[in-house]
Amino acid sequence: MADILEYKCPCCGGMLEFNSGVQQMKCPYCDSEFSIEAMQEHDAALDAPAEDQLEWEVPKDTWSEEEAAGMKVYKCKSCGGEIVADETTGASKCPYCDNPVVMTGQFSGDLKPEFIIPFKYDKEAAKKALTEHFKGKKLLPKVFTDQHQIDEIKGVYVPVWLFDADASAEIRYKGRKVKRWSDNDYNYEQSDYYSIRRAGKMSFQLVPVDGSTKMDDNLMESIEPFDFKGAVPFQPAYMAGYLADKYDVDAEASVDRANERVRHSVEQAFRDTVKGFESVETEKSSIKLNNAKAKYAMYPVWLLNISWNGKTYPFAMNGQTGKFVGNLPMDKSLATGKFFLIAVILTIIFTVIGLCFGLI
Amino acid sequence: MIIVWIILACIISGIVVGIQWSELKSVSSQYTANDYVQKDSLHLTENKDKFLYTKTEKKERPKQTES
Repeated sequence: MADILEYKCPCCGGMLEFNSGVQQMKCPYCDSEFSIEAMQEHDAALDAPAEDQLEWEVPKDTWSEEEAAGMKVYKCKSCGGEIVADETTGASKCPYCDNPVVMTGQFSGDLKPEFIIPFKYDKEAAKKALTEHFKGKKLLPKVFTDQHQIDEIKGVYVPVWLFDADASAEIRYKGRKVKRWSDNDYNYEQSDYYSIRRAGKMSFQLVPVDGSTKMDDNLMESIEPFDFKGAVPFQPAYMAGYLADKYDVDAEASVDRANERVRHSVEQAFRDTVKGFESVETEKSSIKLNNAKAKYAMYPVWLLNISWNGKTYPFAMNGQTGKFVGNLPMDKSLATGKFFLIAVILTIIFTVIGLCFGLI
Repeated sequence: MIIVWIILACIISGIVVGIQWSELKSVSSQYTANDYVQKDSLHLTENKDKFLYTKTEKKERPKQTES
């Protein structure tokens, strides 16, 4: 059975959770608060090297070998209930007594994150942000706002890889400046062509790449940026009360995505230094990147799923900045109706203007 | 001429509805890493604009016939 960490309130014995409002551990039963530093003695287990957890307790005839291979079983210290989780789950709640638990083995030794950005926004803020997200969306079906069912709201720490990169680039462009003039007989256009060379360096810090296959990469990138100034050295106590996974996409597999974004930024920054031309064409581009060792961190995200009309709509909120994203459905009949209404009104207006000015 | 007004009206209407549709979409991948550029780290070691050649075109202006 794998080890789990639980934080018990010394006053009443209830399970402590990290409270984003006071940025400390708080007992939801007696309201006692404790600093993260006070929880450090609980984390002594992290100093021990990570042990292989290969003791499966899988009932026969229930799970196939393939299904069992990706699962781990933990025992809740509060109620003794068995918590079945997949191999990447790092923090969860006991399904029987709802106590928050942290799986120590997922974050110990080499697997220990260096940093964590604690949650600054709570669940109520996420619900409020969802309501705000609906406002002002003229093509959103009214029934969606009235009838939607929030399936679940989860506070999740997403494992991310943070990359630093030094870029050196040499880019060659062809630029064109145009002068136009006319005389009585002709219109003239003079095009002056230039060879434009730019070379230089740029540095990037902490470019995040989502290290979990469970978290949609586009959703994670949409809630950026995270402010790394809010990051603190990792302690499992911050995860109590939230869900968390360890990474299942390693740094080597993630670096290409970071470098792709860095390349685009370099191309854009260099292109912005070319001014005064009517048109610019890139002829040759050479960008070299040097990556420092990746850092491993946990970033806070509120995840919400809404079911409506047989489809699931995922939403996410940056747990640090409150940025909220999620695609909404469109009322097709409303959109079509609006299109024709606006087109008809404009046609009438243009026709009247045309008649007044003798254009028809 | 009325057909021109209808086409123009449809284009403008399409733009308006298109803008309202795009407000419903907020999930997309990030194209760049501009939020993570180290401040003042852009240093150009080469910055040259070299003139190559010029090309001039002329087009005859339509003449207005006197009635």
